[in-house]
Amino acid sequence: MATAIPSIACLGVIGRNNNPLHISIFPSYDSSTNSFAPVRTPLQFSLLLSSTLDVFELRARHNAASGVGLSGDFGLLHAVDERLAAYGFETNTGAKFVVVVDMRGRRIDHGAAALAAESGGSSREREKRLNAAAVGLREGEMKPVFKAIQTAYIKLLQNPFFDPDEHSPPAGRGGKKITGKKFADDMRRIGENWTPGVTNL
Amino acid sequence: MAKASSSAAVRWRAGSSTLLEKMRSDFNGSSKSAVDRVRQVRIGINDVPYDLLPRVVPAVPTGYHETEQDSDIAWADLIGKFKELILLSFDTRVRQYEEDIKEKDNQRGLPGWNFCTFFILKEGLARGFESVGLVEDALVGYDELSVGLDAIIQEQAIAGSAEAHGGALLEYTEELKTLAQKAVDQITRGKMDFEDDEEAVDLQSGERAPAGVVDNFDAIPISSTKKPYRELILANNVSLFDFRCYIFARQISLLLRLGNAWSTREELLAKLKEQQGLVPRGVAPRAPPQKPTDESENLSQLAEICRRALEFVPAVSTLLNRDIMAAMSSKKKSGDGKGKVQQTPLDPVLSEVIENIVASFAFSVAQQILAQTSTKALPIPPSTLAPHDGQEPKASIPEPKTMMHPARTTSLHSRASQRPPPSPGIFPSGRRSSSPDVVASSPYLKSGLEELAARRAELYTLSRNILEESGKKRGWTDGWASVPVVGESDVNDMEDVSLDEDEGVDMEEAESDMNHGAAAVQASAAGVGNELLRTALDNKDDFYRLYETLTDKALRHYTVASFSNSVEANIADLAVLKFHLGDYAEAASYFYETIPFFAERGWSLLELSMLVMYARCLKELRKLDDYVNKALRQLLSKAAAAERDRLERKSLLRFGARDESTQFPEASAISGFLEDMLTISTSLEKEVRVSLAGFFCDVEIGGAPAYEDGQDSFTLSLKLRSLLVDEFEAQSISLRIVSPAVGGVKEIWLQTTGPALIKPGRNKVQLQGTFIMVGDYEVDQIRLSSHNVLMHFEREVGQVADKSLNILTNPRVMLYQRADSLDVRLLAAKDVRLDKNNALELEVLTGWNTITTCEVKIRSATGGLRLLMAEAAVLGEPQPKKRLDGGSFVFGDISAERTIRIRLPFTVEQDVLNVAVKVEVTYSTDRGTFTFFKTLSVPISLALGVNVQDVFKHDALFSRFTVSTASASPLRLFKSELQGSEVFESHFGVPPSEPILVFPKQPASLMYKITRKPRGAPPGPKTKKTMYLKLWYSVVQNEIEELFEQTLRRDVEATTGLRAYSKLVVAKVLAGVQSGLSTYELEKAALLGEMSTVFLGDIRWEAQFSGLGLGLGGSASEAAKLAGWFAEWLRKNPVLVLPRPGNDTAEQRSSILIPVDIPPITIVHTADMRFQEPLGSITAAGDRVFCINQVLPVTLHLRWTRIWDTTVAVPASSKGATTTAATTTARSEDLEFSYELTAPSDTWLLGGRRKGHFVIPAMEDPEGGEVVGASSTPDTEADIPLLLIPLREGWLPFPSVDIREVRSGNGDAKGGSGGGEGGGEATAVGQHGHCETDTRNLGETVLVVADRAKVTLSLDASGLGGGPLVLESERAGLGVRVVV
Repeated sequence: MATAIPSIACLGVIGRNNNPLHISIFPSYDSSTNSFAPVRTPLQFSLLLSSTLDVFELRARHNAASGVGLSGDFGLLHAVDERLAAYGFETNTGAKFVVVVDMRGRRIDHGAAALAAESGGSSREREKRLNAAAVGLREGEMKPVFKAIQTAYIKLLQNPFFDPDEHSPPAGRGGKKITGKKFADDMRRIGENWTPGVTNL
Repeated sequence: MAKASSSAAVRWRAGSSTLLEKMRSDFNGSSKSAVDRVRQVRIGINDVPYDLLPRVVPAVPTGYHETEQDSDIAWADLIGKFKELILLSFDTRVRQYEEDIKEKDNQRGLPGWNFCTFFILKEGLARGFESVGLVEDALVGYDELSVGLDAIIQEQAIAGSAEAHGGALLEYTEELKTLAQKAVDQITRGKMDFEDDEEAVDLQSGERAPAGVVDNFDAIPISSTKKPYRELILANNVSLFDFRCYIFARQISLLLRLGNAWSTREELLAKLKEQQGLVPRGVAPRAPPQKPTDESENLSQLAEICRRALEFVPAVSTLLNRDIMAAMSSKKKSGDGKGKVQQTPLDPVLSEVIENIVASFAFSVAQQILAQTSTKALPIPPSTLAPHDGQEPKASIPEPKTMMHPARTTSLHSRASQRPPPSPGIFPSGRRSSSPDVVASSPYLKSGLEELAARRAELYTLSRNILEESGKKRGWTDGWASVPVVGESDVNDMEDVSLDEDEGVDMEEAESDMNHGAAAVQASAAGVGNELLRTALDNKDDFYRLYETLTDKALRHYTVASFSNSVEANIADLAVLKFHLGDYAEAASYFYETIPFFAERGWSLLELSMLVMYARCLKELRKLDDYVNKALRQLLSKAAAAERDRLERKSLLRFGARDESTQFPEASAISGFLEDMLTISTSLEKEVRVSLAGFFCDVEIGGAPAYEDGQDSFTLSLKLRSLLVDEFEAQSISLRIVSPAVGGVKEIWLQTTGPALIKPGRNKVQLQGTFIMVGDYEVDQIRLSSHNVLMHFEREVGQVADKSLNILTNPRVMLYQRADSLDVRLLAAKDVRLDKNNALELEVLTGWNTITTCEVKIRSATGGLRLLMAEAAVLGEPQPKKRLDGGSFVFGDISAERTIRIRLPFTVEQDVLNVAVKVEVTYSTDRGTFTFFKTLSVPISLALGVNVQDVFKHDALFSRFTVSTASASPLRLFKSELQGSEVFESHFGVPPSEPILVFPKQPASLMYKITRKPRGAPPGPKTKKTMYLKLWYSVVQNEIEELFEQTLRRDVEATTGLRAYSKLVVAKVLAGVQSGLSTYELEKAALLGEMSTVFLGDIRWEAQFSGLGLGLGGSASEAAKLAGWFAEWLRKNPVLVLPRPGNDTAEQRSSILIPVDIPPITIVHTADMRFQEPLGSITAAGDRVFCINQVLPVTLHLRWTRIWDTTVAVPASSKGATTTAATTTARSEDLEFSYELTAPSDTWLLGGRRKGHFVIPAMEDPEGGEVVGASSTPDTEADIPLLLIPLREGWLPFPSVDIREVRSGNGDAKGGSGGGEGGGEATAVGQHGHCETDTRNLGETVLVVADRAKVTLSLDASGLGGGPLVLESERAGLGVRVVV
């Protein structure tokens, strides 16, 4: 039996000045055409990311007021529709990571899973995870993603040729996008490898 | 429980205790833990209604009296007791429940444990809490249950089997299965019509209720009473989906209660209809009057509901999906038998149905929650989609109709009526931007208001997105899919954004596509249960209207929540939608509002795409000015900026070997706009000015100016990299170079010779300059004009290049003159006359130009310099065709290599060292018209200074001219000449054979003897008396410069490849020479006759020649080549030999003519003292020797002459000045003089007529030919005998003779004796001008010795004062002693 499981549809990194630093878009499974295609256009994703900024702001305000949420994980920001949901994370330097999850972005055939079971022992784990996904994503599910993004971002910042001020000018607005290829590759890897229950990316 | 009643003292029974006590003992039980259940309330007769009173009333007064207060206390006590006891029992019950729950919970691990049972148990507790008003406790209970359910499912998943633990939940929901099945059947039967849809809906909820009810019922998907959930759960006959729904429904209802927003189902339905608001369904009944509620809603709780709903929807959608999937597959399983369960590609029909059902369900939930959380406390600004002139949005809802007849006509009509006039709110300055503030300051602001608004907005967005997704399948996109993506700067190349089904497909096409094939399946609305959604999906208009309404609602809610980003995102959505629908006016206003927001935050991707659309809108609207000025300009420069970013990144990644060919991945999106802009700009009145930096990068001057042979023009190549997508033709490109040198800004414009085609990418244009002006320049303006668009770039001269722009990082340009080009030279005149206006000599050398016409304009460039153009003369051939006013000369044909000489007399107002002249030569050859401009400076200060000293004698005048240098440089004096005048002639000794070197500290002296011409007529007014001193000289520094110039020019021109630079080299080296020559060097050069060139070696020549670029070919730069050549030249010529000029070349040297006026002296006296006879002895040296006290008879011989009186004899009657009158009288009058002999009293004793007067007779009338009385004759000379007695030994000077004029008219003048004392001695300048006295004896001395021939001394100190005693002395006896 084929089951749809969540996958990442878009990863966004937004800078301190609310400027986009990086946007990666991942195709989702389209059951009608049996192919992979992004569920939205890049522009729509951009718009989506930009509207999550309000939630970031609100949450940050609430968190500051109540003194909670020091981890930076803002959880579900926005349920876009019955398929897409945006999760957010803010570093303490103001960079924001947004993960847009497509609840039915992948399709897993149980048969295929069973097939995999013969070859590897991990398939059972996998199936469990997939079943677990049936109850929807829980807050914790996004933690590994954010952690991975943060790691990638930190790696980027450690690059001596990367000037953070160029991307988020301290005083001004706007800023350049991240052009590092390695970072982009990292994001790609994260977006493609994540499935619910993955704990290490 | 007992109720205490009746009066207190009824004594039916004997005993001491009261009835109350009796009842207590009866009811309370006897145990210790017993609860007191008896309370007493006294009721008086008056408290009881009459008909309830017992018939027989004992007349006994009670005797008991209680106050009202007592009564209140009693009642309160009673009620308190009630509560206490109820709670007591409730508490017991709860405790029991909790124990049960705990027990059950502990059994969790045991086999056979059933979650459903556990659930019912725990829910019982929660319901209990709820019923006693402990809503929050109840909510906590349900929350725990929800988590518990999750845990169970998790455990089941891990256990791998649903049956294994906690009891089985159904795999699917029966109703959903039916629904899905029906929908599938419907599609497969091909019944896609909406009439059948109704049927499908009916089938959905089974046959339990009539259709209308079903409809209504379905509008509230989340309701705990929708199904007998508890029974189902108890019977273990519930699906996970139902279970979740139930829990959620309970949670919502509890929260609603908490939020004070409890409403009945009917109210809810009404609200649901109402909130569809603008949707022209025509089915919305007016809301029943709201029940007046005193308490306001708790907005935070409502927000919490929304939040939960937002989390619930995605989760439950997944569930629903699985549920139906499971249902259908189980059906298949039962149908097909065993085995073939897997069907890897999902059945498209089934998936379609599932999606529809899920979407519908999610939509319904959102709508329901929205309805439930709507509150009047949330001030939502009126819709911008409707006129908000006092009318509520609801007012535009059509009249209620029956729900059976969704009137489409009405919808169309109402849509037309809804067409919103562009309200002021849609402009940025209008309402919307300020609305958050308004809300913030509004009195409605409550805690949680923003939160609620935001949540509701999200729900609206959610609904809209669901709608959009459904619409997408029908090809009704919201416009985003067809939005052009511009300059998508993706690092990952793999993301080819393929939107196969949507991209580039117009709506109509999509629609037509839908009519056949597989698309038809997707378009089915089967399974869409929600009425609103179904209607919206019915046709395109309704779809867009609903989409717009939902977006607008979300927008307004976001506005209240002050979610600026989301507001802008929604505006962008609306804008795109309007654009997609062709409503350009509105789209334009939305775009206008939202573009800057994204622009300033760096969302360039969005910004660009929207700009493209904005531009299209404006074009459609024919707002050409805005189109060009606002949209296109911005769009193109943004696109260019994106392209620049891309280029930069590419250059960063260059080593990554990425292919360079990919240019503008989305070029098509913005191509054509440039063309539009250019063509439309012509129709605009105003020129469209655009910054060049926006469209181009890497703008550079391509090397040094290139010169063309045989022609005085140069070209600069300008490299620019166009960031535009399209190529275009620039009508003209011009560039201004400005010299930062002092003395006014000089600027030259360079232009392309014709239109230039600017292609995307690198371009190189040649700019020609026909204006030659030597110097260092910087480019300060670039203008590129095409049609009516002017792209310009300006910078400040000397400004540091802006590295970020990549424009003109090196703006320097050096222009030089080539050897054969037209040139202008300015010379100071070689022959200077001090008493006349000097002249400058201007030479225009045509060089290689064969000139057809030529205009020379000459202007003074020094303050105070006046060029006397009227007196200017062109020397020699060619003569000007005409002369214009203001110093212009126009010449006709002049062949090459000719020289025009113009002599320019000038005057200066104050002494200046240099004068400068601006010369502009505009000339035409057969190859065009050129302009040459040069400011020439020439020193006009005199190179030498001359002082004169005159000594008058009786018949001759000796003049000594001291020639000194005026500058630090020595000069050579070749020849001198004192030109005689009509009155005087000069005599000079033997001229020196060699030129005289005059050093600054060592002036030269020239002595001339001037005599009066013998036959000179008396000077008349016309007589030229002035003599002229003419000096031929040369300044050593000039000689050195000339030497350098000649040598260098010869050598440079002899070197191949450098010939063109001769003027440049000479000019640069001469500048170095001028600054490098010290006084010392000059002196040395003058003395040694040679010049060392070592001092030039210290200058960095390569820097001096920078700006030549690669020039005429060759690998090394021209500057280095020149510098190298020059270094070599210096090495070869360490010393330059100054030519040693002889006197013969004097004529070619500069000369100066100095007028020398002989001062008119009225009378020159000559006083001569002579000893009458040879007296005394004469020493070997010829000096006379006298003795002290010797009497010396002397004759003072006084002579006079008038020959130096050169004043013009004017008749007295003339109106001449007083001086001439005086001299006239002086000549024609007798003049009386006095003489006086004076000597220091210790030197000479004077005897005889020491003082006396004498008269000089008047001159005879000069007109009678021979002058009489011009000089003294023996008759008129005076010989005055005197006696001199020397009083001292030693060399004694003669007594001085002082001759003064005795002023006539003075009393003592005639007195004779008093001449010496009175005023007569005042000055030598008497009444009649100068008189000079030539004292012949001046400087002569006589030797006076003591008059002793022999002296005998005693050597002992017996003399006077201890000195030697003179014993005897013998007088020499010189001469005769004369006793006076």
